[in-house]
Amino acid sequence: MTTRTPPVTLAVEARASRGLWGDAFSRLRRNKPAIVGMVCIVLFVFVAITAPWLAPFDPNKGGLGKSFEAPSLAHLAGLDKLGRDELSRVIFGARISLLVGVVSVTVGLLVGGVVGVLAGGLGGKVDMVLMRIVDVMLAIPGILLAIGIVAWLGQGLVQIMLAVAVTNAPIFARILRGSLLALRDAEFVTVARSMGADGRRLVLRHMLPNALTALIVAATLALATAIIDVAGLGFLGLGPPDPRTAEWGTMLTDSTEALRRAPHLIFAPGIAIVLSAIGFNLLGDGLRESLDPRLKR
Amino acid sequence: MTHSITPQAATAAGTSPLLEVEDLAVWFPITEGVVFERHTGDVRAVDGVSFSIRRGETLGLVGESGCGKSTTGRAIVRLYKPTRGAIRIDGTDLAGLEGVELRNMRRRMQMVFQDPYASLDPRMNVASIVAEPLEIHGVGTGSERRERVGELLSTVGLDPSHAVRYPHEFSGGQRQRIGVARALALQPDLIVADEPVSALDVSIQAQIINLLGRLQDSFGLTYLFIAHDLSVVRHVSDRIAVMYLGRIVELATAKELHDRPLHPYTVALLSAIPIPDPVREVSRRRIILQGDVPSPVNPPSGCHFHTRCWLRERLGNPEQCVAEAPMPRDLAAGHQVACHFAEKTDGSAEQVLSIGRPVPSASTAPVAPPPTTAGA
Amino acid sequence: MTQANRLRATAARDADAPLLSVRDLVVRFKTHDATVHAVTGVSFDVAEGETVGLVGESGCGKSVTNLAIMRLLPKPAGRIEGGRVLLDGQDLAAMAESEIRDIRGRDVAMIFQDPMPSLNPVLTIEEQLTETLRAHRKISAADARQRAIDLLVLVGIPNPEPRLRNFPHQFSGGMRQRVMIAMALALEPRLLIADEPTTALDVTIQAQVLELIRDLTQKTGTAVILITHDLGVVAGMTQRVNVMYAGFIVEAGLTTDIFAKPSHPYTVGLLHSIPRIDGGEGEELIPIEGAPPNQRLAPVGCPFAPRCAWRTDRCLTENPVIVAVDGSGAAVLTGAAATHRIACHNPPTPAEAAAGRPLSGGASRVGATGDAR
Repeated sequence: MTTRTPPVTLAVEARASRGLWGDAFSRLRRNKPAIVGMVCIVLFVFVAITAPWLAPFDPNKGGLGKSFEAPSLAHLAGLDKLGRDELSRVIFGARISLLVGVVSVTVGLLVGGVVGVLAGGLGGKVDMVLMRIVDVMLAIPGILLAIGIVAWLGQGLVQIMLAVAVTNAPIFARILRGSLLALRDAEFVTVARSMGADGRRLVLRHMLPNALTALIVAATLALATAIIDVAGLGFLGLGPPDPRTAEWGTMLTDSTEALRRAPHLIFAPGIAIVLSAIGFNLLGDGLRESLDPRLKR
Repeated sequence: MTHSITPQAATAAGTSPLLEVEDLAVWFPITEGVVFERHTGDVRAVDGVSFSIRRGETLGLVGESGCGKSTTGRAIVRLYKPTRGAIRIDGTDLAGLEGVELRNMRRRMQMVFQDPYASLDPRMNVASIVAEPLEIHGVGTGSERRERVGELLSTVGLDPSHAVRYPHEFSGGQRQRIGVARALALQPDLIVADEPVSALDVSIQAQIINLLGRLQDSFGLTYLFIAHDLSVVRHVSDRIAVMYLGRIVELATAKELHDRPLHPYTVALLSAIPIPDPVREVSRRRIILQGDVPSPVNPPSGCHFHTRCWLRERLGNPEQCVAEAPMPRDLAAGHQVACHFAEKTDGSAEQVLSIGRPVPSASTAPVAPPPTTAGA
Repeated sequence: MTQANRLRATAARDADAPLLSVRDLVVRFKTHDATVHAVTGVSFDVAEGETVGLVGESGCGKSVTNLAIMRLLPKPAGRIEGGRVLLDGQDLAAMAESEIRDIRGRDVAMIFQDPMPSLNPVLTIEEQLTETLRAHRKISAADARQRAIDLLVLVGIPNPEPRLRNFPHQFSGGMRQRVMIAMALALEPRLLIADEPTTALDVTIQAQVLELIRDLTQKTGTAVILITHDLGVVAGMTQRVNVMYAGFIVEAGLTTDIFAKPSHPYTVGLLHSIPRIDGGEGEELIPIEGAPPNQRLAPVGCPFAPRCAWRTDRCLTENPVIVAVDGSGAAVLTGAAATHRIACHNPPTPAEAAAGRPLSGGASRVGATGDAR
């Protein structure tokens, strides 16, 4: 542009695109809170995966003589009631949270996605029936629903995942249906109809990809709530049945029982829950802003 | 490759109608209640419209918002199911077709939409957008389609190497070219262009108008050109149909409509269009229609225009306008007017006003600078 | 109302200084990764009772100029980075927010393309009209109501009394624009800025509204800045025109001069790219190729050069200043004797302007644009 000499080529735009996802990612990289969020998440996932190597001690080995020992250089977060290394238990706890979070949100997405596509894509009576069911599920507080499921099916990791998935699915269904309905009258969908595209193509090719961004954001934010939900269930004593399993919520309950004797025990699981949840929240907000190609400036 | 670009027009006789629309009506039901819907009325968007378009011809459909011109266009490509009437392409009635038969007929007519921003899927690149009609109708293999996309993009004046780009990287005019390329992909006979330039900047409009004209010449296309801007419609059309509140009030050749408008509404419409010439604008008197266009839910009885008609007022408000809907009448060869008193328009002061003095042939020549008006 | 004018008459040039004088206005928008050069060095005057057009396409800076005059630029992105906006010699650009608020509505009023966002949907027309009146003037509720009725009568709304109790959504588009005009004229402003007032309206309704604006402002002597992309509207409504392109005024002068002797390639291009309803049969449209420049880049050379059929090497490096077409020195900026000015190194000859393209075998034409893009 500095040496503009004739003939001038009328270029489209100087800046080449790296595709929609590439552009979205470059916008995301400029979003500072999202970067902080991603750092938290990367840390969280890294810890969860490398737990066996990262943890300084066996999370299940302890000694009664050493219970409630205060933090020291050897045990940075102190020891719990059974003399187990609190830090190692928090590190292993990340695995449960990650596993339950990812599995339950995925299941929730699948179920909610199918319901949403059916309701938003077909409309009419199908939409009405499905949405009334969703309304009923949304009317029940999520944690109550989860408690009910765990109480009904018994304690266990699978039950926890199911419980969290069940609370998420109607939310996903509603979000997806809303986006699809708004897109049904979008002009580019009308264009495709005028060319003879059938319903399946309209939904899968045009409406769904455009509705997906809202769902991706919702799923990221749901991961944050899933981590809190798992911890909440653990805190209420509905965590994994094996008392040896290191789970953040259960650890928090245990620490409150000994709040006077060993206040330090509350910090490690507490911080872990807060950091991982905030991480997903920040990333979710960042994604919301960066996934819209129309926001490109 | 099956896409040798051969104008289909060559195969048929030049004067046979490609499209015939007969007594087309599109009503949208108004319902109340959620579970138990009650039918409480209809929006009579289009209410008995008939016209035909010959091969290679451009018919302009003009009118103000809510007159039903867009609905007519969309019903022809069967985005809406007609409430009654026939839409015949080469004699085949589309109005009742469904499924595969309808889909096959859709290959022959494509649409260009108004908003070049909303009509392109933001998550598809240009190649996929232009190739989509081919994909839908299963035309060609992947590499054939790619080749065809490049060909189409050059046809509309875009660089084929931009096929990998996304719509948001293009300006409004370029996006509309993409929309035109997509409409051409299946080599349709008829293109319904719904306000194809009204969302574009003034300097860009001519690019698209000229492009559409060039394409018509090269491929023998037939256009239904829908717009609110009578100047643009007159420029591109062979014949023009003027719509008001769901009905065609006047249909004539572009020249005839401009030189001798016979429906009081057309006269008012012509007189309302500003002319980019201050000398003429200052001396011009307009026919200002009173009030707004009535609701198509409950249109006025008889002639829909009678509530705002200057001619009716001058004739002492004859009852016939309220009592009886005027049928289109041939007042000259190929000049149809739906007005009981159209003869009274001819030669009236209003008609003269609306068309102004005879236009000199060298209209682009600069007018001599006149003395400044009202020297404030 | 003119005390301020008299007081500052000494500061301004003389007693018949223009009502509004915009000088070297520069407006930029800063986003997180770019600066948009929206308006670059725009100057124009509006005298009492004059109707002046600002014409151009979307993004040319005509609306931004108007928002800058009213100090209504979107914050924090939009900023006046230079220049003065003198209303009766007072610089609006340098005014405190509290002072400019008094000016808005009382001295300068606006009407927009779409009246809906400027009307509060939950208040009746009466509430909105009387609120404006009572915010600036000490009048009783009954007087305000009477004035509101008078205003609705003035703008031609039938049955004004019951209509006062209606909400904005109960009016049609044309009626809503009438209500907006009533609100704008409520305080008898001296300057009315009409930003695309009829673009959203149908042509028969446009004719109604334009006639209304013309009648009312002539009756009250209100000066008008009419912002539009429609050359036809400008031709019928204004005495003077400023043609804008990419943030610059490229041609200015009497409306009659500009339409009779368009002298900037852009103006010539605009006039040839629209079909005219009074044009001859088979009239040829000559499009302006390409698209407006990317205003995120600092302007180099003439902004129109890349699309211009008359461009020379010089046009690409040196931005021409706006000077009198006939080469005379001092320019008259307002009134019936306003100088016809253009910013162009290589203006088309009258014959070329009439033809819409260079005639001299393309000697001055550089490069080929063809139909590409």
